[in-house]
Amino acid sequence: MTGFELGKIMSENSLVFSSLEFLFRFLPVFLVIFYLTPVKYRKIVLFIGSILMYACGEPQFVLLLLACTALNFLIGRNMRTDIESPYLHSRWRDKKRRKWLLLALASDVGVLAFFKIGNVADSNIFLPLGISFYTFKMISYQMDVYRGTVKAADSFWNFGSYICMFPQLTSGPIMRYGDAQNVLEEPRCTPKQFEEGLRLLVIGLGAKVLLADKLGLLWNDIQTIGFESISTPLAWLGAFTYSLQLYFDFEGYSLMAVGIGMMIGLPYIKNFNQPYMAVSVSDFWRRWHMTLGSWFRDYVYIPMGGNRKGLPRLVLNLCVVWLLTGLWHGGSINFLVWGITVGMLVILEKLIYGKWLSRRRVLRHVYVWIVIPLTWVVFAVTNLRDLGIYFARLFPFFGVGETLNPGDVIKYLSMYWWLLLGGIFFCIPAVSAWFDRHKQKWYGYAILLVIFWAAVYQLTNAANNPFMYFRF
Amino acid sequence: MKNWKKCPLFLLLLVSGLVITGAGYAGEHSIYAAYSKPNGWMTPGLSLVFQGWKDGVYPWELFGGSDASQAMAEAEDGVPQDDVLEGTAAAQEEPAAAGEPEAQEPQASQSADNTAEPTDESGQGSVSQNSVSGNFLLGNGMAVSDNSAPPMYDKFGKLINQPDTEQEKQEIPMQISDGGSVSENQVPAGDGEASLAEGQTNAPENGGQSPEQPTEEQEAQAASEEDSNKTYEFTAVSEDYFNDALFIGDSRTVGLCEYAGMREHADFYAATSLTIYNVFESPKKVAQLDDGTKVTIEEALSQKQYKKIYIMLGINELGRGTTESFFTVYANTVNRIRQLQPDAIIFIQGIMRVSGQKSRTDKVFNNEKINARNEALAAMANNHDIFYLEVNDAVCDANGDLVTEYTFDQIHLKAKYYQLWKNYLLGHGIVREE
Repeated sequence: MTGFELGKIMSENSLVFSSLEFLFRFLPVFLVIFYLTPVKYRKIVLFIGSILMYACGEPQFVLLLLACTALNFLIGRNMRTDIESPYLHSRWRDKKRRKWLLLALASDVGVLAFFKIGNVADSNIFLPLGISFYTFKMISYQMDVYRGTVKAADSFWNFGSYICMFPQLTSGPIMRYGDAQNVLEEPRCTPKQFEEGLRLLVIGLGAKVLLADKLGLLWNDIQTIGFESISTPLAWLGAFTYSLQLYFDFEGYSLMAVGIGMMIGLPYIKNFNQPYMAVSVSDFWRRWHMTLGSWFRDYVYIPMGGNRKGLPRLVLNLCVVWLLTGLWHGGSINFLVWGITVGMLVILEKLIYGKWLSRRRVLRHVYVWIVIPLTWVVFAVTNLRDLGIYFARLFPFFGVGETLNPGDVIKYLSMYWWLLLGGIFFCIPAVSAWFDRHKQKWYGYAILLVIFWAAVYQLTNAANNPFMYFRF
Repeated sequence: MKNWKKCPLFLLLLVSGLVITGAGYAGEHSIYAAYSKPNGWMTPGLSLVFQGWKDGVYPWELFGGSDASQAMAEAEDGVPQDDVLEGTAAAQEEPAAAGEPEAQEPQASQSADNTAEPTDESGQGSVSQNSVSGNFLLGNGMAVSDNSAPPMYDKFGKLINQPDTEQEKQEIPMQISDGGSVSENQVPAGDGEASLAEGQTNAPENGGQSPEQPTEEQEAQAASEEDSNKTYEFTAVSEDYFNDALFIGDSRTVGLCEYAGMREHADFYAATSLTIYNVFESPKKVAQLDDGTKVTIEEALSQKQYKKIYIMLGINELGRGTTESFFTVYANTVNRIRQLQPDAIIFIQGIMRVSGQKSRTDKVFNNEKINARNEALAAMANNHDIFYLEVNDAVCDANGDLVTEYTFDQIHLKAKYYQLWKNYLLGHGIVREE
């Protein structure tokens, strides 16, 4: 449920981070109430506020969220009772907690699979908002409790506020319970941390509204033209632009989520680490949506034996992980193709050309910049027929489609060149490093102030005001 | 206090936010009176400031005295009002334009009574000839739809395979040719029946009087009157027809320019979000002269003469004004173009509809509104030098919605389907003998 479905959430749910209602109504009111409440009860405010916000978006699925939360809370607590019980024999104890774990996994995976499959099979079944994220948080919680790395929550408010907290509810990052439990017990926040959180919120808002949403227009334009009629250069431009859009969209949203989390006392979570500076596809996926990657590593790949059980098993494990990653992102067939493609690339790098590539200092970057956008095209185009057409335009050797306007790429470059340059500029590590170093300077603040109000300007004037409709 | 100092960004945002919110509420009934908060109290007051900013209404105008603020408020609010006011003026002007032939009608019939009317170019006015020519034209009108339509869809028919739309396409031109050909010989009165009757009563007279030699003066006078009243049929034309044509329009016409391969034939004064309200004084200079200089459309029209001018505007205007106010502004525009381009045939293209999905869910952009406005536009045609083209016949399904497969965004045609639009225009050319 990354960029693509995120985009759908954005358009359907009025209470997303990048909306005026959230930024100027929900968030300030919530923060004031949150900090006026005594420390002990803040987690309750967080829980109730999150449920209210969820109810504004998808009231029909509030009960599902609450039921899943309650069930997982009870299972976790039972597991803990068994683990800590002094009267049980250790083998009996293991058997019992394994039963609880299986029950938890069956229910969490079952709910997720039901809606994912149902959504594909029957268009009347909608995917509940954030279900991919909160079920993954629940699974990680149960696994950690089972392994004994965390103690199961003994207060429902603790667990409930961890699962349902609004910053992470709709699209992550997938925080581990171990990182949250102490904070949630008594949420406090130093002014410095609050300030840092606000800074991330502003940067994320800017990335989302000023870069991603505007870059997204080009992808929309290409769809309006129809894939079969675009020129090959425009097809490539579209692939690159979509890659940038997806990055700023998801990275921006993650930054906002993390920033809001920090403003209520939660620790910083890194979800992206300059992914487009990666040197291989495997490296890219260690830098992109890191909390998802580490989730699959810790709860699928390593339990299956990781790379310790020989080569055939390693290949199998990678196949399983990437198949699941593909399916997690969406039910339509292109996500399956996408997952398999990325998995194959990762396996090929591990087995065949990874070592050779790592010694080519320039080529490895070029490789990533060409291969990753191509995988994103598979990610973006849900219909296999259209996907075929798009690739036939990217590699025009098959005679599919026809360039109706050879100058189209010039037109769109002249319209979007400054956004593309801006996007590339903010992908350069030195830029964010410079910005980090100068964030305490007056111009650092001035830049943030401009970004924030420019984003608000953009949000205001993109709103559905019929008198603002001069756009065709 | 010490803590606050650690949060400069928070303080900056808080203070600036409060100031902007204050400005928004302070100007709510003055400089921002024209703006609304779409979600009521859930929309922050500061959104007014940003809405205004976009139109050049800046918050410091709050202190600029009432003159400036009023002027600014009117800048937004006043345009539609102006249109309404102009509308009444234009409504008086308008009949003069659309009704020009009507005004001449009495004269025409007079001349027909008094003189032997030189009927067709053929110069033969016998009953049988007349009816033959009428039939011929009717037949010809059908031929337009029957003979020229299949080739134009053959090329594309394979691609779309949409039998019901094709059927509709053939029906509509026949209707148009029916109504048009009836009045071929006569004044283009609004209702075809009346002119048909007149045509019939006139014809015998003509036949009877034909041996009499009209004076040259009379003949010339009659000929010129005849010329100005003559109506024309749509016929199939080749692409060269567009060599002296100009297209004026919004993003849809931009698409026609870019994807229908018409650029080498016709000129396009088109831009995204062009409207009938700003077509002449659009802040962007959308017209390009032959030497490459960019000018406004009005300047361009006064510098270069065209034989055919196609207009497709109206989708962006749907959220603004009423059908009546839209019509009057449109009519004014057509009149102005007529002034600047006396020899041009003006083709008013009906606003292209949106898809059914869009139409059902959008309060502003729906086909009901579009159809109402198109009906008004169609009334502007006199079939002499102003024609109405129902382009929707080429791209809509049996329900009258834009065919779903032809569009991604429910509003614009996909690139390859602009060919349908172009083919429709090729099947609906007007050839005047000159």
